[in-house]
Amino acid sequence: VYAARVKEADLTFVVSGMLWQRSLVMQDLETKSLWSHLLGQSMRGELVGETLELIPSSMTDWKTWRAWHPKTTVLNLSRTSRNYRREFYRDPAKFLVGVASSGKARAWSFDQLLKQPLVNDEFDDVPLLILFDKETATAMAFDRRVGEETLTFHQTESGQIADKSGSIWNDSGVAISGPHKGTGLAPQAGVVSYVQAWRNFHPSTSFWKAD
Amino acid sequence: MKVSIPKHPLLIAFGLAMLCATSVQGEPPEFAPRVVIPRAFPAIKDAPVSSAADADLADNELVLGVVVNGEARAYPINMLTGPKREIINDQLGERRIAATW
Repeated sequence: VYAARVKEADLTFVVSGMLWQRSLVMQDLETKSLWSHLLGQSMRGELVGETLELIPSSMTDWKTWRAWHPKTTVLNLSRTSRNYRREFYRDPAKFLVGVASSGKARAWSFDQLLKQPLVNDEFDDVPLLILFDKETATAMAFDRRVGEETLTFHQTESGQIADKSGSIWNDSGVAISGPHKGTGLAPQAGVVSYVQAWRNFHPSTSFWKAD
Repeated sequence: MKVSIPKHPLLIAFGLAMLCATSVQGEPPEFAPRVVIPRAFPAIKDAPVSSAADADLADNELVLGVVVNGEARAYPINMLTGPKREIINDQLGERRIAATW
């Protein structure tokens, strides 16, 4: 999900009919510039070089999303497929969640996250918490700074997400008990992608590995 | 450094192919889009939305979920597949966004 605004101008995007690296090429109606869907960057035309702001989003199942956001609205169009259900991720080695910024990229593959579903990591000077829910294959990235403090997370014996203050956090990054109760970590704009596509678009990406 | 330029078209083509094959490690590939369908698809704007209670979705269907300024919206992936649907131009939390698949 991108902010559809560049240089103080609103943009309307269409599917261009072109593919690049087997991935969608978007076009904006206002300037006819071409945009890479995966990079969020204009590759040709008046706006070449401009980058769209990536808005944090989650890939999860309807049950999980509705539980996190009971007041959510839902796009209401006819279905074009019925294949995208939890079982879509039956081969976790093919998928990852990645973050990218100014030519750098880091990725956490689902098969590594299956081994270790909570990761304290860092990218581009931002300390990150990566959470993975095995049942729904939901991968989320959060900034693990709260005010001036950088928190370090671990899983309790019962599988709960905790920091050293003893606060317990839910899987949408909100503290549900302890000193931080009510605090929400800022979601980071991670992208769920095929491993191969991510490698093509971000050849210099680093990969996290479970211990 | 002086580079000799091959004159024969086949050699030029071979040279270009080698340049592409040996692109610098770490650089994204050159932008070389392939036209699959010779025209753009119409824009989707102002698409209808429903409340969570009225949504006809199964628990296990995948959604792309986004929150902007406290407003949450789910885009079921099963409504975003196919070239006519891959981009939804939308407005959420007073911001214009494009949900893409």
